[in-house]
Amino acid sequence: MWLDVIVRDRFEGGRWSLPARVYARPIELYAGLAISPGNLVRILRASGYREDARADAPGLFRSDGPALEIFTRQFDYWDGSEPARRLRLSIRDAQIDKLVDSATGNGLEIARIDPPLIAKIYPEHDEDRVLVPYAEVPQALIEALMATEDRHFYTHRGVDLRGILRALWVNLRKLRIAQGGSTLTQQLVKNYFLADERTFFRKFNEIIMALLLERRYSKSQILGAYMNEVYLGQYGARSVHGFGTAAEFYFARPLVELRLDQIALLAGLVRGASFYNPRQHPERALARRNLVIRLMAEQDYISERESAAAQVRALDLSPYPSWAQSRYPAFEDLVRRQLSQDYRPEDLRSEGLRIFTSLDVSLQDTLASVAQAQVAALERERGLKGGTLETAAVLVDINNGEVLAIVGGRNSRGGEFNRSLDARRPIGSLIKPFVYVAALSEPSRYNLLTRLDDSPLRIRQPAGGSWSPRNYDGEDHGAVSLLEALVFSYNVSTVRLGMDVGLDKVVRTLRDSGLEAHLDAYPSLLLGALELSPLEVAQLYQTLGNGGFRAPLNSIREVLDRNGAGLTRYGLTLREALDPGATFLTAFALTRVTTEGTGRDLVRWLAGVQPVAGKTGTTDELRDSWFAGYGSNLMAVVWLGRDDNRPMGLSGAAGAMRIWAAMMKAAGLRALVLRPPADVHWSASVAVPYAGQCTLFDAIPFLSAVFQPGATCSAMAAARRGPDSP
Amino acid sequence: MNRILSVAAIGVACVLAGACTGTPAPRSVPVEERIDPGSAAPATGPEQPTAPAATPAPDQEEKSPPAPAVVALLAESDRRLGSGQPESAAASIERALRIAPAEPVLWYRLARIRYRQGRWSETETLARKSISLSAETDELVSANWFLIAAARERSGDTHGAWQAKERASDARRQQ
Repeated sequence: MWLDVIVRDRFEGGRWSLPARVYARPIELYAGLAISPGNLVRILRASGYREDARADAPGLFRSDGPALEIFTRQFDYWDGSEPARRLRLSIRDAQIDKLVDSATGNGLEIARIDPPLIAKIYPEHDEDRVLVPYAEVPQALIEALMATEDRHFYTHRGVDLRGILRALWVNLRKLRIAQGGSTLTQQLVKNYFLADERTFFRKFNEIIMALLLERRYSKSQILGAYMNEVYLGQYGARSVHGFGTAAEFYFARPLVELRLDQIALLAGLVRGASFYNPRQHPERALARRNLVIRLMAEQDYISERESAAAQVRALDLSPYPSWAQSRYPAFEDLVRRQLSQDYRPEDLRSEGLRIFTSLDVSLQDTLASVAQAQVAALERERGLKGGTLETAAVLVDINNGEVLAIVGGRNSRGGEFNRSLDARRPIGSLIKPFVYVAALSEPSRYNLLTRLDDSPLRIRQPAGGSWSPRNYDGEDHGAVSLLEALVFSYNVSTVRLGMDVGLDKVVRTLRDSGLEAHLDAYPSLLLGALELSPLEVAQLYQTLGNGGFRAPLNSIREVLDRNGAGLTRYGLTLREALDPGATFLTAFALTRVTTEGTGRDLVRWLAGVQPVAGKTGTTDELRDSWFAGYGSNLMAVVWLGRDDNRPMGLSGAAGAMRIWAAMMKAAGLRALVLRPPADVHWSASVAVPYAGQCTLFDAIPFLSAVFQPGATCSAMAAARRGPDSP
Repeated sequence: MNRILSVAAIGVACVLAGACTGTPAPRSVPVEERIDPGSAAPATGPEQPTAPAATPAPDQEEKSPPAPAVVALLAESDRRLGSGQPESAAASIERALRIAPAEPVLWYRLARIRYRQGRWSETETLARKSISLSAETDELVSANWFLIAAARERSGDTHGAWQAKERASDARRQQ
């Protein structure tokens, strides 16, 4: 029979299409972790943990100021399973002081909290499903369904004659299909196969198929299928199928962790997921839930006392889930693009892959709110109309290239232009450090005190005409040291330097640092006539800030299949890209940018975190404001500008750097630790012309043992050193 | 005249060696310390740029013992490597590196894992990273150079291997 074939094919042959699940990074707890109690609680809630006085089951925690007790969930990571564990910790001086396994009382070195689910990648028909194996379905749920939907499920043959007769009677009287009288089996059939018309004919087919199902498959198989198929909700275009999904959607917890009242709520949704939607119609949902509870008590599944206790509970829903509303669209975008390099779209949508990313939800939320606040503040200060300015930012772990957070725009809305990946703007002075690295890689020719000529320059263009770069302040600074030219971002001397070194060498330095974009090797490249996205800039500065070791920027750690078996691991890879000595000298200069150079306000704003390396970038007519900088743990790039590319009146220091400072302060930037490579020599204290003054430096690093002071203001230096020095 | 010349010679030599001024040898600048703006000695004028304090040589940097978490993860990595799971062993090291990215032992261990996996150029890069974080007198430096030598040998760079062994011996002598 045709219907028989359909039944069999769907039931056995069809696997459910499962969305891919995308997780943020799991937080690692260990003594010494810098974190506040508030932040830790926030992260726990993001993973669906609930505060509870007893904290005696997985998914619960108890907090008492600086002391917390957490019952972690069992979770399968790429490298193994971490068991559910009850642990206690105390936080002192803004870090975890003690971490103890509650069961044994012994100190615990490290523990992971299962990561927050941040996004899903959906199957073709936008179905969302969290599969629950029959064995893991709570007994209370089965009982609730029996009580309300199909009392005789276990005894009937697929149709409940009494139910049908009753329904038929009602329908005949009303001359339409008003009442279903459907068994669970029939409902399953309806969900599986049949279109949504409620005709007698359809009903007839439904009955036949239900009978067929029952003949072929056991009660538990049918029930198991039902548990994962029944329609229980909607968000946007996406439909929620199955109780596992519903538990996650309404309560942010696995089905097995739900209480009786929560299970009753879900069971009640079967009759009408939209009608009884607890977020839209809480009173109806509550009434329906309590009816289910009473029916369960009536049929002796629960006691009167349990029934009474359950009915008085509040709805206790979780907040609307972040993955259902695309809370991190820019990061999700990055993840999809990286995935598309290795996975086909069909696999992503239907195979239930589990994708573990590098996102730090706490840092992400922080950066997003800072971006919003700072951009608004800048607009107010400048008297700009609200909504004029836009921004983008990328935050990276400098030591391994992992992307911690991404801001695609001031408002972090889904479906909008992702500026961090797609807004390509000229990078201006951000390119300069790479010109200097290229130069300093030839220590026989250049060192930090080599004199450069900053006087006016004219370069003939191949197509005719000439180009005269000018300094930002319009001045000619005459003879300047390399150090000064970089710290104060002089244009003319940088162009001379770059032409002297050779454009090809500068391009090679950029390529080695991870630049993949196409570029035109014209002299204007030396002043940043190169359009890049913030992410592309971040790759360059990651290499620079990591001592010349390039780690490819990465947003995905591992991909597992639906059963938890490892498919791909994107581990830490390093490549020696830049000369470490030249990189060190450049970093040295960049720490001066933030103390007395073009970014001199930064040291103040960061209130004690010093040294910090950074570079300001400002493009023609103040259209783009950039800042890129790093410490020992974090590196970030911020862009500020207008979407319509009109001038907006803010330099790199006045605009992007402000935002960068606020972000890094909130993110816990740690000062850079400058570690000179073995081939670095230090000069004695030396007085050099610097920004128009004769300035005494304690020591300047060189790659060559031959100290070439360039210009020193020696008379002043001698006078300062006094009679005892040589 | 001679005396002046010899003084000048000493002066030049001292300047070359960068070691004979009254200023102390470069010392550690731990995170908490601020660079004192007053330590600059600019000649004239109101807006004075500050002069930088000397930055540290690695061997004088403060080394605190590694966190228990790091020790535990190192042990886990060793166990996994021992039971023939190099990629899992690497994952343990990477977890530890997120906690202590400047700990050279971790980079060395990761280099060793890559060596086990026959990934010679990665071995060398990771070993160099470890060296860049080590004090000159640390025995890790020679261990890393030996590892680099082995990787070069295996990838057919015999001369490079010999050079690396020389560096290893040099480093040994400094320990």
